[in-house]
Amino acid sequence: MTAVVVVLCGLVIALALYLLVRSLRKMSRGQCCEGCSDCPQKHGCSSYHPDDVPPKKGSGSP
Amino acid sequence: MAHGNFALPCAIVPRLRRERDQSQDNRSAFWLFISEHCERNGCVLMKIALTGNPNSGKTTLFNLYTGSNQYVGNWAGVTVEKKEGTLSYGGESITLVDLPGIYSLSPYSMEEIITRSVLIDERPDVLIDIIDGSNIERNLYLAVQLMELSVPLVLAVNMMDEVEAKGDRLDCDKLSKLLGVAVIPITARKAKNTQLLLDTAVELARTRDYNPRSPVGSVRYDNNTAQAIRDIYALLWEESRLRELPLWFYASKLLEGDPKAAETLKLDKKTLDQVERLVQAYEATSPYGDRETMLADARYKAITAITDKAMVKQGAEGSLSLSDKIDLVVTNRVLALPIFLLIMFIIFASTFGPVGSFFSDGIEYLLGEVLGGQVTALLDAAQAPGWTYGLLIDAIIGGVGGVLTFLPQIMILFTCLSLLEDSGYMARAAFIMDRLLHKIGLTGKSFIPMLMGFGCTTPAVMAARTMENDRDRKLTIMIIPFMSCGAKLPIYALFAGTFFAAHQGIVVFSMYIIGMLVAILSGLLLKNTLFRGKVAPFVMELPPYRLPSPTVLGRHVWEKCKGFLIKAGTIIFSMSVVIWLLQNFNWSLHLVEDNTQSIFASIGRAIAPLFAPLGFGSWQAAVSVLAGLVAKETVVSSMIVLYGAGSQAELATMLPGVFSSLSAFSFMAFCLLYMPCLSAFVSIKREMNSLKWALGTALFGTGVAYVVSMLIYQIGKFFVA
Repeated sequence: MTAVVVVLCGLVIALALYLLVRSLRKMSRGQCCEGCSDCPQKHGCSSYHPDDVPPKKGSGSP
Repeated sequence: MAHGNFALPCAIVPRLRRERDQSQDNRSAFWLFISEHCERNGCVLMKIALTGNPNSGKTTLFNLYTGSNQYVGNWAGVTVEKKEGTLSYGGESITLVDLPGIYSLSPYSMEEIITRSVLIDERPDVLIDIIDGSNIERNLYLAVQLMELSVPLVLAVNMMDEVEAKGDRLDCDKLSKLLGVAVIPITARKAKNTQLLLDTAVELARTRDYNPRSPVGSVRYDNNTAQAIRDIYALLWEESRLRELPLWFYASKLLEGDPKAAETLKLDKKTLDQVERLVQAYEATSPYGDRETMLADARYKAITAITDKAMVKQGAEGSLSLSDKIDLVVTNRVLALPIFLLIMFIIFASTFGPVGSFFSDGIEYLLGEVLGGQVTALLDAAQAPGWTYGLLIDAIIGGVGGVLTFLPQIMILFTCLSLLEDSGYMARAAFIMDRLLHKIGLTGKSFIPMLMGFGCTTPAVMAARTMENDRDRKLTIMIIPFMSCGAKLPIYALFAGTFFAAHQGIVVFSMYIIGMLVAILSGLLLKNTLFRGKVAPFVMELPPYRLPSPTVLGRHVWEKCKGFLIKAGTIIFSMSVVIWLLQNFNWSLHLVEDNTQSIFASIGRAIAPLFAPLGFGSWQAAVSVLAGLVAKETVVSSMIVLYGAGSQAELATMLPGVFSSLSAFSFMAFCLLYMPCLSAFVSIKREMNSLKWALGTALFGTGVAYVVSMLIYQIGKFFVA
């Protein structure tokens, strides 16, 4: 049981380090750590990647 | 427009369709091949551009037509948003471009320059100009200029429901006859008549071509203006290289004194001199004597002549709407600022009132006592080593939970701010501040991004793009971080709740006031040193007051709540664990019993003396400030971990042993003003396009924070025991 707790704690530490690196990478691109969904400037931000369906094939390119 | 392996200019495509529809004998094999290729490959055969004043409903219409088939990016080389989408119409694909909202086609802002460039260089097949029916004269000012571009044009009079609700009547058929262009009344919000608008636009694109020899429709200017434009047009027409350009547009722009027009046409000196003589002769016909004013006046006179015939207003001329009546009080010279301050005070008093505290205490109990208790019991049963208690109880439950307890206060605060914004009051706040800021050489336009800084610094910095004057924009970006963002609220809530329990609301309110004052004073300092120059004029539209929609309000608050939870589960969680690691391991990466031997303690002890003059010279406070560079909330979570408190409540009992009331206030002021978080820093760097300026902003902010905090503590010592 002790070993299980220690392993779990290890996993928690690994998860925290992974989340920290991921968050720092996002922030280094100027992305808020709260996410973009309610950001009033998201459409003008190069860090924003909308999750909507990409344009249909054959439609005009920008 | 690209499809298959080759591109076709948009202007050719409508002709393709007509040629294809003609008799087989008259069609060339080449055109037949092209049109059949396009249909087979689902090529885009048409491009429609949406334009109009800001807030006229372009984006609502754009979203209605394109749904999720949108692409959002930036126009090349600039930070102005570019939105394109596709829609299917009768089996063919149409590209829709949502152009930036503009008031005219003068080259004063990037949005205007972009729109001109698109309309002239890319030349869509048809243009839809969205007009706000409740403000028709101002909106037609752009429309009459669009008509000069000679691109097929449809006017869509939007917000007809509001026009009708006011009791006004607009005869769109008459308006169409007077202007000589199709006019379709719509209500984009309710998708009323939007199909008719699209049908009209498509039909126009199919049947009319771009014809640079004449403007679309007709606008009757006074004789002097009309003759001056005709004379300049005739001069330009003499140069055959210019004949494919919309010369009516350029003629009126040259008459207006538009510098970009002359630059674009690359006129020789002789032609320029001739144009200048014509313009000076035109100026001599009016007491204004100024070409730009004269042409604007001529346009508005022509517009008024049209709207007087096409529109019947219910109210008497000059009568005040409800919004106007409210503004008489809210924007009153004497009452405006006190009302603004009172509203802000009420917001903070509500935020830290009994409702927020009740839910906060509830969350604290659930996390600390219930969850913490359960986890402790599990660890006891598992005979877990001591460090696991520190990690799971102090760092995770304590650190993350300590920040989560402030969720109710954050929700209340953002509900109030969203109410103010959605009702239209925030626009008045910018107007109110402009009067004050103008007196000290700043512009009220700076206050709009500053107000956004109450939410988050990152989008607030991006909002400064609306400022055309580069100096004012940089100055605004440098002072936005002084506005207290939502992430700092847990810091105030903790310290105000611990040291100023009876006056929490007032103390937190004072932080926001200090932030605004420091921003304004810093702006004044920068304006007189680094950013000398004239104050840019500030013209803004005050939207009518509206009752906030409960659905929209609920969605804003929910999104804020969700964002906060995401932040807690990612950066705050990870920083709490990392701080715990740094506090429990030494430089040799061995677990330490005494955390004064840890990595964090040695870093803290090295920098703590710097903060001694500010009243908080403990190493824990020093490294908490460092942790706040990642995200401001982590100041609280790191204090919980560093002091070994299992919860925010426990930390609150420990803090009086480390801080005095004065040093606590000084600490809050430092956290308010020092350099912003990492994502805000990166945003500043991107908007200023310079690492040097971003570092300068960060150092300036930290320097100001240091000075202000030191003054508070050192001067406060004389007054507080």
